[in-house]
Amino acid sequence: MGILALLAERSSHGYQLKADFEARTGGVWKVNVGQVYTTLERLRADGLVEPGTDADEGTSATKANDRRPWHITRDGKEALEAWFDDASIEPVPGREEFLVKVLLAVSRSPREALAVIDRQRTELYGLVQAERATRRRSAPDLPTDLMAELVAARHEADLRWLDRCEEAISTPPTEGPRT
Amino acid sequence: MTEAVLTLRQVSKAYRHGMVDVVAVRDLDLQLDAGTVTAIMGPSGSGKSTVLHLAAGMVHATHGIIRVDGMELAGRSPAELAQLRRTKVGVVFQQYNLVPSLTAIENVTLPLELDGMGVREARAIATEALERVEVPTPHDRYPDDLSGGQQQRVAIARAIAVPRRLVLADEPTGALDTLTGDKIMDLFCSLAENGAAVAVVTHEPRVASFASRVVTLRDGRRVSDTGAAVAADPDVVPPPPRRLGVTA
Repeated sequence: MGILALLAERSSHGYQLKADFEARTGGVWKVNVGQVYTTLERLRADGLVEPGTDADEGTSATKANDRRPWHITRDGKEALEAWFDDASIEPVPGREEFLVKVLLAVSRSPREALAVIDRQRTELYGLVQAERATRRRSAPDLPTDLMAELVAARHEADLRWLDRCEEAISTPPTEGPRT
Repeated sequence: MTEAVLTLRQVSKAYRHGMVDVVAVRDLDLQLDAGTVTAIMGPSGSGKSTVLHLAAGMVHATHGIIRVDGMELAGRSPAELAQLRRTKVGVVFQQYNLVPSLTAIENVTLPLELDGMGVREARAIATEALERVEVPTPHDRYPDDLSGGQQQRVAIARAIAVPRRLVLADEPTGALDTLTGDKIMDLFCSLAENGAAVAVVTHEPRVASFASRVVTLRDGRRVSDTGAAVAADPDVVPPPPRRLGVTA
């Protein structure tokens, strides 16, 4: 849908879409141009985009892909509006390895869990420090700054979760209600 | 070449609670170098605030050696420690510790004048410090007439009005919005870039992200540290270990 949003602003060819997508999303999500063309073909099959006709005749398929501009269709614009209107969110976080590791360590022993938490915390703080240092050194454009803010917020959330894990492990369990 | 500004060697601190000693800090080795910002983190009761109070000479260690800019704190008189804080150590504590009967600017000028600075110069320096931390004018309002965030910033202005070797801050951004908190942390970073060692106690990962090093305490011990292996200050010989009383 990101590609559809870019095509709604102006018709464009594959390489330009790749460059625009990366620049407009802060440069964190790298895409290869092959993925862009695969997506464009899928969107074409759904009737959401269509290729222009100004590719050179007689060139290879790849070169033709490189040169022809793509346009958004009326159906594509409607699909894009519906995408912006849709506010659904994944109900559970992605199955990141470190989350699984901490949860499994918690059920092994408090000592092991605290050791895992300490290592993950050190690693995460290393990341947030490095990101902050990069931001303090440079004056990023707005998408890059907002993406950096997102990355930082996610790491900070993970750090708070580790704090909560530590607190839960360190607090003796309370007695349940008596019946 | 690192330059130790604060050195703790085998430092322990126990508080007497009734019949038992509650150990807040246990056999802690910590060195803060010039040009660094260190975030000290940990759950409630982990000893992080006690470390700052020890470093500021506001409580005495039960055991171990504490050195600030080459001066060992053990055996110093309250007057000597107060002078150390006025001249070399800037402190910002959670309770702001402003004098309620003095205006914002007077709270900043007081330690400067106590240290022999003329009134005019002290006011000029205090005004600049208050402007750096964006305390709105007029600066002759009393603490009760300021918001919590503004009082916090006055306390920070007092701590940074003159160059310090060591700046110690306990939750300095707790009463501030995110943007102002970021600015204060940027300010602490600039103090470090000018040669100070800064230690910030915080529970906020965002605040800690500004630090060059994050030390996490649990039960008075260091359990994680993003700093590389820290070279010990060769001038400080650790005392022999000693067992403390009943733990919390």
